[in-house]
Amino acid sequence: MIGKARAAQGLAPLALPPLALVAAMTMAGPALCEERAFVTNQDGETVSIVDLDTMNVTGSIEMPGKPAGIAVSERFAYVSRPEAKAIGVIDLQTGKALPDIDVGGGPLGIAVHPSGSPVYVADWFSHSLLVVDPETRAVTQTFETGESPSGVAVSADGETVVTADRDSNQVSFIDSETGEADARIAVGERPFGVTISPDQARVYAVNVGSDDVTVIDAETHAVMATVPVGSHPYAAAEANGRVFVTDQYGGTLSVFDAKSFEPIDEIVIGEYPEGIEASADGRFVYVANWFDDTLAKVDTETLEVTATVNVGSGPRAFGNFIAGKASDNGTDK
Amino acid sequence: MSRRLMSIAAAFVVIPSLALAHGPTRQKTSQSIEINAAPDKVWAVLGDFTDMSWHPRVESVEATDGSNKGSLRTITYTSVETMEEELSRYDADRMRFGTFIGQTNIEVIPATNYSSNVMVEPGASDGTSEVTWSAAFYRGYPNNDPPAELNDEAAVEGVDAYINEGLGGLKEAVEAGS
Repeated sequence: MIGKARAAQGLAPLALPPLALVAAMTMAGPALCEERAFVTNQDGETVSIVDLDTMNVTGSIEMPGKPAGIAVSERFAYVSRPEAKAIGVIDLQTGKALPDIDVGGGPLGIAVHPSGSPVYVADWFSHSLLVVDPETRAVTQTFETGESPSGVAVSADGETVVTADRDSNQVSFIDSETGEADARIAVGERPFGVTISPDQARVYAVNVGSDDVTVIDAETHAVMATVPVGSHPYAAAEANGRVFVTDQYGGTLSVFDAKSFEPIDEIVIGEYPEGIEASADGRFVYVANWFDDTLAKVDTETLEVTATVNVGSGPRAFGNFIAGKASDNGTDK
Repeated sequence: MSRRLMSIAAAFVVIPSLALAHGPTRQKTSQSIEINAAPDKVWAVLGDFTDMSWHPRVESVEATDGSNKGSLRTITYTSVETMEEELSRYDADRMRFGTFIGQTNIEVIPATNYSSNVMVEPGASDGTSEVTWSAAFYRGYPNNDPPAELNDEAAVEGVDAYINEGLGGLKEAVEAGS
């Protein structure tokens, strides 16, 4: 079983696009790099693939084990499946599932190093961050976090991994080389999602329990602001100089200015909005509405919902779920 | 109340964060009913957060701040159990509101961390309404291997029963009177 799985992983690099195609993509710019969402449907136990240009569902992948978290690299999507105690792997090119990676525990938040490896998995039960080598399909290291780590984010340079330690009311900044915490910063109550700003200057911790967002200076680790948002917020994304926060119980997107932290708007988005991510160019943010079974597209300039598409049952899309942003090395603009 | 249920209920009070743990996954349900009355007539009954006399299980309601957002109503059931429900959203123009019950009473609904939305919309024909009551919640037992009466299915079944009885009672109350 393991040997077979390794073979599948080992073969993967051969499936890289031919040089000609890479060159074409580079020359043509973003036009060829179509963005697609890989939406984890927790109740339906599938992953919906959505063409974000047309907002059509183009595929669905079986994913047992109550999939919740997702992290997309240039070539693969890694899906946390708490009830399977495993990570699902999807080949982005074929849209097919590859063999799982067993990690044990309660995998939830997940992120991938900008180089494509390792994959970081927050383990709800062992209160640690598992470092997973997707090639060998093994947990190679365990980094200490606080209680019940939830969201995970990796800096664009790959040097820092940030976790929202929900039941410790803190954010951990972990050195990805040493695994040591550079800082553990107290935030609001029960931080769940954690996001690094596109310019890498700020970290947003979304506090479900205190209905606010803690903004942390990514370099000095000083708390810059605590911004009130709607009821039971889940996750945040910054785009177009604005921060968008999904308010699960409010059914809204709270929007505030990324510089002044002043509130801008509260957009009616759908019931129980959860996962959120911005397009590479920052023109749109995409939101999974857990209760409505939809993915919504929001114009970050006009602050209007421009399209909504039905996905599978109970979409969470917790993490980076948009593929095709690789033209800018995986960072948001 | 069985001794076991009581001790589980007590556990929630002591360690409420466990009830939110991500072992169990959040469940959801949604029920609708057609009522032979115009939406504003239905809303006049349903939209009053201080009164739940239309729900067959409810004995009395006391609310701290009327139908204003943040108002906390203590519901006393005919079974003598009680539960506190917070008004977390209220939109009279769109005839809908949302509630949250942080500390559920599992004798009433075998679920935890319950939130709900109710709304009134125009029905299929003139002078009728459609009322939708949806809820999201976790099962009554927060850890792995829940007893049958507190697992995911029991939670959905219990909440469905609570909602269905409520909607039926609402229909009866609105159509009967006023």
